[in-house]
Amino acid sequence: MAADRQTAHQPASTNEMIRIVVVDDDDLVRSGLAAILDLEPDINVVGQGIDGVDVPALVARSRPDVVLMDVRMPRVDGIGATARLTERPGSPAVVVITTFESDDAVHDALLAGARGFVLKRARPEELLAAVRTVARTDCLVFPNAIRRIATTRRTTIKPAWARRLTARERDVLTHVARGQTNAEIAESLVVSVETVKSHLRSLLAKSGSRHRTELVVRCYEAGILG
Amino acid sequence: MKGSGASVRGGVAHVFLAVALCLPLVAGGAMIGVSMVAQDSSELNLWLLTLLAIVFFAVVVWASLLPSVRQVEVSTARALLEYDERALPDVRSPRAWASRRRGVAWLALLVGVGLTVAAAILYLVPFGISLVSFPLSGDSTLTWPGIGKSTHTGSGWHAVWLVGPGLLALAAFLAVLGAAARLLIALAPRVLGPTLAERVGVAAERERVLARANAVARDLHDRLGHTLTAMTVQATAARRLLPTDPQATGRALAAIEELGRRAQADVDGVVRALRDSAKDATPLAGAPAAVDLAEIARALVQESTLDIEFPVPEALHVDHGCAEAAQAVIREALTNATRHGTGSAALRLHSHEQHVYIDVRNPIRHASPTAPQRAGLAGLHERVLLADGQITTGPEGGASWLLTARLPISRPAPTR
Repeated sequence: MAADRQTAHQPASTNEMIRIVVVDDDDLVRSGLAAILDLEPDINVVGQGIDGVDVPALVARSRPDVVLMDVRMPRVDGIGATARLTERPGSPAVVVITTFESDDAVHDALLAGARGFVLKRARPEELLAAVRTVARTDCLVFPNAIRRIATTRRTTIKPAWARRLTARERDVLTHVARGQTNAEIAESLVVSVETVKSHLRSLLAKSGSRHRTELVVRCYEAGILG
Repeated sequence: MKGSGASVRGGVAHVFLAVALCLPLVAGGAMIGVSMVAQDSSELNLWLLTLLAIVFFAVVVWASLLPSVRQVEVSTARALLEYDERALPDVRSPRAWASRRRGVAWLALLVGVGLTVAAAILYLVPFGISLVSFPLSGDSTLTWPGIGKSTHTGSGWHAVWLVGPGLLALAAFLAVLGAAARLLIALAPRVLGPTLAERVGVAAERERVLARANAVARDLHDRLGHTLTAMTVQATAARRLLPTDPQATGRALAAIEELGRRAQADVDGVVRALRDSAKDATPLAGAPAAVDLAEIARALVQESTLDIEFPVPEALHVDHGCAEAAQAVIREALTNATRHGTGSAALRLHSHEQHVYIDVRNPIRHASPTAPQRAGLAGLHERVLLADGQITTGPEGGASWLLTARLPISRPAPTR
């Protein structure tokens, strides 16, 4: 499981409980999301926070697999809290929650290490899918939504690493951006899973990304992905 | 472009207006001119007539430079030439000389067009009619109008060819009329349109309106967006909790109810802002633009690093002045509590008989406040007095500090 650098944290296996904390400064949003999540048999809400300031202590105390994090909070926002959290190995996966899809902060949070984002008003099925995806797999959460957010922020100058990608790496990248698993990518490209993982390692290293979400966002920005 | 039949008809109407406009000038000028060249004029008469000519000319110039000239011209041109407000906007600064110059220029153009068309009417129309009707007149010698020369044409069928030039003369008149109409239509936006200063003013105004609309949209998007999101999340929770946890469902429903009220207040606020921006630029002085003080207090409490006990009251609508003073009071009290207290405070906010009451109580380390705190409080006292309120501060018992303030929810509009 060393394909993605961030996943020193082991994704929970399918029959394990997903431990989650919800961080949002709006009481009603936080308690509502916590109630929705806690009703699921495989999800356990192990903590709640009202500001990014609370996150390190909260995570240390309740050891969650997933942190559901508001982007806009009064003292330390979701971007700062995510960056601080994900710089340590073995950190939980962060899913950013947002009121507005067009929020620039969501984009920044994805580059700060969040694995994905969900609209607060999303249907519960989507919210649960996002939580389960980041807890149990390495895959992208809602690849189309990530594409929408990242393609609006194209850089004009192509970074140097973008020119150093091999043709095979680009193939792998295209499939990663569609939200496929390593096994699915291996099947499509008719190679072994180990080969896919090795290409991914190289992609992450070249782009300086923590995980595939960040890789995909950076590649959209650099214009490597359409 | 204005080339349609309808607007050419309007242009023709404007041309006839121009003809009517030049008639008094022609009449006045002709009267004075004829009198002056008359043979029997004495020296004195000549002087008087010159004086009269000067006065007449001065009056014409003065009248054409009146600020209202361009305003009348613009509204007439808009009505007859069918231009809209974008091509011919309202005159914003009629007194400016640039504006008056445009008014005079258009007036001169109208007089010029009027004279030309009047000449065409007086010459081409009778000429054409007389030629066309000549064969029926029984005469055999045609006297060309204007030239005075005569031609023997014969009568009846021999003179039928005269119908051709006659119709040509009438067609020429119509052509002059049409050309004049098109000329007015083409030149109106250029001559009568906004001056540079007015264009700049219009652009600035448009920018202000856009900025205001943007601010309102942003406000709606942010506030209502958050409220509706919280409502949606709570509704989802309520639906999912319903089979297993009626009590939690009840709590979620109560939250939805409260959020519904908040959304209504948000919408009210936005509608009020829209109305204000529809009325002139700024809200009228003293207009009761209500603000939810409970919301402000909640934000201040959230900002603070203190552990604050604050039972959030229901929406507490106060006018802007009151909200600003109350905000200053709460902020100062919380700042002081942070500086001199022990990390906690209790804030109470309620309204009674057109006043809001603010109580902030916090435990303190020392019994007497230090000098900087007193300086801050002095400023606050002044501020509250200006808002027609009252404020008292002081130790309560040995270990606690109490600030109480009373502010009127709204004040009558200040007289200006």
